[in-house]
Amino acid sequence: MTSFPGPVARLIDEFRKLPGIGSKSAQRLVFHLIARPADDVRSLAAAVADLEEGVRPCRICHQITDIDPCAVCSDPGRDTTVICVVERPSDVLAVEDSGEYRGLYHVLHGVLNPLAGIGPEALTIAALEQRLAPGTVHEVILATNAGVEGEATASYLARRLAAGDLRITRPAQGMPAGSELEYTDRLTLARALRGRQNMD
Amino acid sequence: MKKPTETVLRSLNCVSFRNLQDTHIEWCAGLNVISGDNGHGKTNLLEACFFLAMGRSFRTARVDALPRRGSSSFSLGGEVSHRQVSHRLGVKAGRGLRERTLDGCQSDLGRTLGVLACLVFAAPRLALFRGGPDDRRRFLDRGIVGGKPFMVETYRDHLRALRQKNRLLKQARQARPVAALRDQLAAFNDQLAGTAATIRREREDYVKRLGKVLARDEGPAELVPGRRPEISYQPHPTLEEGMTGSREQLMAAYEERAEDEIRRGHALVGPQRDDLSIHQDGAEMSRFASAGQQRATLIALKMSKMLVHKEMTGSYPLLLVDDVDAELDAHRTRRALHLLSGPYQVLVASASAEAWAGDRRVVRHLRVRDGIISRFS
Repeated sequence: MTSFPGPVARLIDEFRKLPGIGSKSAQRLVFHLIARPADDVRSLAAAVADLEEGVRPCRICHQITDIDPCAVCSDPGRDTTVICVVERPSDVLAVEDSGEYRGLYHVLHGVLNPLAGIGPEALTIAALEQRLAPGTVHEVILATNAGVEGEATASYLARRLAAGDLRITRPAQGMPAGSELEYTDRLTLARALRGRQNMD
Repeated sequence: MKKPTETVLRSLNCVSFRNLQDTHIEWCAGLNVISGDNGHGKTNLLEACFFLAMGRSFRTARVDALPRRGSSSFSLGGEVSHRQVSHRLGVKAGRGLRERTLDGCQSDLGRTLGVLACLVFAAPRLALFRGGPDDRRRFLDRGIVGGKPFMVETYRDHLRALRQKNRLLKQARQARPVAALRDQLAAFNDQLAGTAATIRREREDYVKRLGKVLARDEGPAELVPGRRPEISYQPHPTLEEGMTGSREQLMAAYEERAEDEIRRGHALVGPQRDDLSIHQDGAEMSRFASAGQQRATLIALKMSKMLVHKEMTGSYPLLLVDDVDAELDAHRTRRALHLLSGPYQVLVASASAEAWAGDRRVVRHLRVRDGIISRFS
């Protein structure tokens, strides 16, 4: 088999490092780009380069942002007594989309994962403690994901952050809205049953 | 009126599997017999059915031993009717490849088990007696997952949390400041205590169910010469009398051993150390029973598993029987086969076609020769 020209092979290699992209998809993307007008390709390259230049973590909540502090942290209309702790920057968008939440965020940039060598010092936990130190925050919502590591991280944080009358909560896990019992996957159903509530 | 069989494997498609010629086979509810000389592919056919349901082989852990010589992968498909609804199962596997589908969508063991579960009676390897506690735990856990497929996730989470904890304990042993790790250990213990409490409860319940079936008159235990075998669950950690093994009690037991665990560098407490005791007249069968008694007990336990599966799910698993006749004397074989005819589907591989000639229970008789399957006439 003949190999691809150098620049093509290099870009395929780069694409393959992205989540969810295998060799085949990477090749398809590269050949798609080759077929596009040069302006499109230049504009993509510029957008990628801007990521490096124009984006940084917010100095308060560590969300990825182009203005520092980020839009949420600098919004005077937010409730500054509640902080929602999430794993990844994209989780902030998910909670924002719910329209249910008006408080602040804190992005951990990962979860505890000893097998991958990730301990608390690799996360933004110390920065979170600093934010809680003045005592103006009344509630911390631990919204890490429901897997083993996400749960362990929530449980670790609950212990480490416990102080005074700070309220520490975890979002309820239950049935997806509008879903029928019969079609709900069994893990979700099992969790929903475990977290059942009184009807009153 | 005879009750209809709840779960039936209607057909099997085989491509590039072992020595079997690519084929489509129709199965019937009831007793299906596959006869042929040894080495021609009878067991391969049972293995294909088992792999379709369970995503693994009952003979080897090496998936790359399964594709036909010259192929790198194989695929199996089949139609199952489960509670009068028809489902399509598929699996494709080979070196580094294992894909399952259920009704055209990607699937996993938990989902597939909800539609078709299999139980094999094959030449017993007696690992249950001669192997370690892990063999006995596997025996229990496979039965539990068959009856409650969602337990797959609990076992998976437990294993994952345990691996994380062991990594932390290893770090703690290697001179990192231990204090910083203690809180992390507690966080993973939190997860473990939850899954451990569930696993403990399910194992306890399952052993109780098996024990009840074994204690039945005219039940599977009749196959065993001498006194009726009994089983008891030996959970880890052992708790004081009256304790139920709740999450909180387990958490306390974990914390009690925390220092030992740090010193030893691996987890010392939890269901990964459970065992099952199989005894006869108060004596451990692994030490005191003859090979014949052990074999008969194994078959009795498997039959009990089948009955418990029915009790838990409302339907019987598909039974695959590979040459049981070689393992028991003629009288017991007849007795075993008598127990094997009921409102369920059985596929029996047998070296002797004649033994089944004229048997009115047989609804389908296939013959295998050099991997080619034909109707027996």
